[in-house]
Amino acid sequence: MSKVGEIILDKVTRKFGAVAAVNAVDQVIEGGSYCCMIGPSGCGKSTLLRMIAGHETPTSGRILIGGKDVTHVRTGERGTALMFQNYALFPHLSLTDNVAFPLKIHGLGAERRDRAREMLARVQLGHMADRMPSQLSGGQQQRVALARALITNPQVLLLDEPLSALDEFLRLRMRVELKRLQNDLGITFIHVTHTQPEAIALADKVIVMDHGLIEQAAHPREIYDRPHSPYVARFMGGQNVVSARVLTVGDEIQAEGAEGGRYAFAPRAALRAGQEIRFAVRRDKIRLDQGPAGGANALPGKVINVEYQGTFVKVELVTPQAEEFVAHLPESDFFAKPLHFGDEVVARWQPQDVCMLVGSNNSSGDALAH
Amino acid sequence: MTPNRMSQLSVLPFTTILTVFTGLPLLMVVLLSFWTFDGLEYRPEFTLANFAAVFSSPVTWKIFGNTLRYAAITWAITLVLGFAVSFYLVFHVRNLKLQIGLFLLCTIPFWTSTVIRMISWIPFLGREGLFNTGLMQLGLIDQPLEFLLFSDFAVILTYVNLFTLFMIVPIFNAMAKIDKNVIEAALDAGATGFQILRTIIIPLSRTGIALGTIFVVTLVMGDFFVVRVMSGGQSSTVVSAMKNNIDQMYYPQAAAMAVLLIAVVLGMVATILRVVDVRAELAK
Repeated sequence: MSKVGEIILDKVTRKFGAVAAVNAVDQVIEGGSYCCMIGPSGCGKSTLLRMIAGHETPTSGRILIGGKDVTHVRTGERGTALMFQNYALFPHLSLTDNVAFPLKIHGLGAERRDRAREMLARVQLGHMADRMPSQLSGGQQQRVALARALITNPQVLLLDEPLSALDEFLRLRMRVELKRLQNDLGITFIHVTHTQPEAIALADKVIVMDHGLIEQAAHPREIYDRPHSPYVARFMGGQNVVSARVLTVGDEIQAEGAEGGRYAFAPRAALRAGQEIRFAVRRDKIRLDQGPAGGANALPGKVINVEYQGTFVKVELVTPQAEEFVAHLPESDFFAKPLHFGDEVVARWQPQDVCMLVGSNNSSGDALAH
Repeated sequence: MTPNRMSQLSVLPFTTILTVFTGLPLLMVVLLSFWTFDGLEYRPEFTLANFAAVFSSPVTWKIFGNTLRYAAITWAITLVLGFAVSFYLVFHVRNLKLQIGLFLLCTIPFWTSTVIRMISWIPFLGREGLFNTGLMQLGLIDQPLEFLLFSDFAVILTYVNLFTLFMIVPIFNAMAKIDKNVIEAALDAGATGFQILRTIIIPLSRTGIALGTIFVVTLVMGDFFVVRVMSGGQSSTVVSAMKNNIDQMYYPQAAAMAVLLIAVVLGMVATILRVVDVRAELAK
């Protein structure tokens, strides 16, 4: 990874009145990486993106791109290009002129139209070069926006929810194309999204934000498998969050849930007796049986929903733990002994599948809350 | 009743009004312009003498020139004012309520009649008017400024006062439709404020500019009242010349001049509509 396209955020803060939309964020994004910023709306991800693009000035802190302090450099002069959520094509200009616009601004002569046509051909729109934006479908408009953003050879491409306006089919296809484009160009992509599968599928690094703070920034596998806080576990999904109080510490942590359940797992963080903790267990690590309750790492519950998902079956339980509890069962296991609505079951997991949630952010992370 | 018949029926009242009160009188004027007039009476005999008289008179060219000059100056001033006011309202006033409030403020002069607004300039601009008295009391001048009233200045000032809103409304309307993200996209490409104005905002406001231009130009070209009062009878336009003809019962000549004026105005409107496809833009 090179210095080109590397982004350093140094205590970046943006306040709107008394509210800090982005609060003293420190982060290094490697040059040439694909970075996804994710969080519920209002978490500050778009503000952060706009500050990197230069459409917003930090209240304090510094932003460095490729080793150069660009905190107060004009937008358009800092080696970034922003692709807008609604594409923001110029409605009065043909596709060629749209794509050539940044070159025209930089004073290029007639050659700019040739370069624009080349770029349009690259996004498979060469045959439409003379059309107007209103004559295109959403997916085509997006390609034009992409071509216009790339025409200046930016070090960093910033994408503001680029796929949210597309239908499911196009979204998946454009996702593949974005990833391929990033591989081909080797420039840094920063992609803001509120869709978890998108972030996990695309990113080399996922930055999970909430309330203007970075909750966790890591490889998607790390984020998914070892969430930092209850919020990250809930927001990224695929996890069950369990609350308990530590009873004894030693070779094995013993804890007790408010409902009376016993939990045991290997110590992964410094804990003391009496401490309130939360831990996560992946949905696909849960097994359900209909035997008697009892033993450690077992939680009794009642089936309230069963959804067949093709490769697995999603079983939703209500448990004495006042939080959604879901098990993803391999389909062959499930159909060997099917469960139905209202069945009493016991959810069990292995001690090594417990992930301690050391972060304190306990908000629901409800992705539907926006 | 079929939907087609229904829509035909619903445009019937307006069609009737247009035909009876605009179409027929216009036709009469056109016919009249070819009638024969011998100084005593006019007869329905075809002649081009009225047009010949109009075209051969140097006065015609002078008053057409004068009218076009008023139209051009008024257009330029109202365009700059209308564009600036709209630009301010759309791009600088972020608060929608304040934006609507300020917009309504622009319409307040229209709560009184045109005549009152025009007449009220007279005590302000006159020799002993408020403005001159004020300047003299401040010691800035010792003779009252003569050009303020009963002059081209007064005529243009009144036109601008009366017609600027007709420029503001359509330009504001067109500008308000510009997607703010489009401006940010231009900024992102590195465009300066002036480049954005020239390459994005002006082209995207062109429907409003065209409509405002049509309003202002046709209003000025069709006026005779403002020019008669505010120039103190020293200046005349096509319509005021037409009024003189009518007062002297020279109806066919007045009609010929009217036909000429209509042709000129139609030509101007057609040119504007050729440059800007108002219909396609409004349909958006």
